[in-house]
Amino acid sequence: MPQVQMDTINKYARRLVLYILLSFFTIICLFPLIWNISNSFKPKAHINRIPIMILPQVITLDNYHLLFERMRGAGDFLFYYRNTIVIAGSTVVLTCLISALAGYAFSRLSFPARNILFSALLSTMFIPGIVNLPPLYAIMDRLKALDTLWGLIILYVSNNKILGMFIMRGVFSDIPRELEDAARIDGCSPWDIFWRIMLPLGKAGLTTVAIFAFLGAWNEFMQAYVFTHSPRAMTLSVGILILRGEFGYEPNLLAPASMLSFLPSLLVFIFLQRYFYSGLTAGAIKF
Amino acid sequence: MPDHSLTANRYPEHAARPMTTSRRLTWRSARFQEALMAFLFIAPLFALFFTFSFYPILRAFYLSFTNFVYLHPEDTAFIGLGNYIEALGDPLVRLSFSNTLYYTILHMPFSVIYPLFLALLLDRVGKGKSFFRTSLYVPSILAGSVMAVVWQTLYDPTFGPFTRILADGFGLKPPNWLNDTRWAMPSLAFMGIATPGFNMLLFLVALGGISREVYEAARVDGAGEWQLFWNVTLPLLRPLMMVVMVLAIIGNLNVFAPMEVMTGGGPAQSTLSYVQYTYRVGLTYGLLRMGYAAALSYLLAIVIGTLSFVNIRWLRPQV
Repeated sequence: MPQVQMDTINKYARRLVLYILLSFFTIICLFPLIWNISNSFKPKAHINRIPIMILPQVITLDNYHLLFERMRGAGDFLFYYRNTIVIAGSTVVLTCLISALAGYAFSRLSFPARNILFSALLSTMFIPGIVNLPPLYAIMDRLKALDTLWGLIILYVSNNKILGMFIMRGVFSDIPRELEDAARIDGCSPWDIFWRIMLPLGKAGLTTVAIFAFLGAWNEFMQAYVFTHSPRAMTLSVGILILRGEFGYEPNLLAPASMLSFLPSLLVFIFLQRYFYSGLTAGAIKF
Repeated sequence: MPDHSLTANRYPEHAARPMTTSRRLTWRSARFQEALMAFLFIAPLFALFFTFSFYPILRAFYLSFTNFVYLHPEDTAFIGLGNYIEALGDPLVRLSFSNTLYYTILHMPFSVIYPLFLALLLDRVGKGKSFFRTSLYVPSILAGSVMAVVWQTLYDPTFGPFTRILADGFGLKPPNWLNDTRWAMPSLAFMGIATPGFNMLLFLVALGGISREVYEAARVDGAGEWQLFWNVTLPLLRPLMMVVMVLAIIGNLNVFAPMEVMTGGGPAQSTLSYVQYTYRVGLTYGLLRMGYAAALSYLLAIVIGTLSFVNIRWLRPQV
């Protein structure tokens, strides 16, 4: 065979191997998720059965129906879900606002002790989370914030504020200074410059901050685990442990419950991932 | 992509420029107004920072030298290094720390080599790259605790797919994964196979940054694919790999959720992690010995602080 033809075959073979390998590892990574999706659509009798079925033979919505029915009354699952939505939503709004304000100050305004304050923020980032957990418990107790929604909201905003500030500082620094100067000459007040000019221009950055704050709040485990203890304030990531206890003998309910708790994160990520990736580089400085 | 460096003064020409020519700090001066506004702007962030980060960290430091017990604060006394000395002799400290080290070692391949391997594959692929990238990354953005509950069903000793595939497919006798002292920790670490996540993306970005000309030049010199990887790609990635490794060690030393959710530290405390033990000492056992827990957490902070220092001082790649 001529050399050129061999090379082409070689190239295609190599590409084929590449795709096979990638597909293989993609399936491995997604396997827990696939398994759970599949279980959530199987009829009850097909879950926990030998031989196992990785994919459902019969697809049914019974499990979801049953889950909603069971939850209609004083259902805890709905409480967890509502709490998580309220907490994640508030965290997103407050984080965006606080990070944008501080990011603007650190990127554009000059004030005394600026570098010291900035370094102070950085200095605590290497301290493991477990260090402030016990004192935090005492503080939350004193603030009457234990087992409340606002208690978790305030903690989650606090968790995400530094990353958010970094992202917004970077975004604002990239906006040409002349825009502000022009607005100032036209008589814009400093607040107007921030609110009417800088903030709209930093929309992409804000979206990035919002995604990180959302995922951070939706998925956070340790603080929710320590600082809440009733369905009044529990989020899904902790509530799932209660459900696991309740549904110990009903795996057909646990699977759809986990699926529904994954769903918002999946949607947010899949539709907004462009913004997510742009924030990752900023996130890398977290370490 | 902006370079978010670690210093505040990356844009000194922007930030330090006063709005007017007056440089005197007086009431009504533009500089004063600007500073006032800046302080108002950073006030919410720093209110949270001092209340929920800075103060608790200092407070924990102080508590670590006392015998503070949350439910009996009136008995608090300063005991110097008492807690630290106790920690060094505490068998559960030793056990939980060695468990955590074991987990860290088991998890390392999933934190460094595996993500690098996937990034190399992704870097080469043309069509479908974003599909594969999204699919490989998705498990990393899902709630870890809920995922852990799902993994528990995967590790079910009767109906779990691992058990069934090994037993029915290969005729083996699979272990009782999470309930076997020898298998529990490896089972927890193995979950890393579904979350190459963040490190994979870091490697991918780094690979994209290597100029094609470097490869071309090496190819012209007759280097094969394997030689290219070994002699060109790997040396260029080595600084990032070191950083990722240190970060992975730090992250894994902090491990808490998988143990707490899936094994409760069992069986026979074979998966009790250091953070988990600290949490239990300070927030669950008996009268909540927060002083002792603070000392335990500061011991971990010392280890992690040292690693972070090494990371920043010697390993950070010069980008």
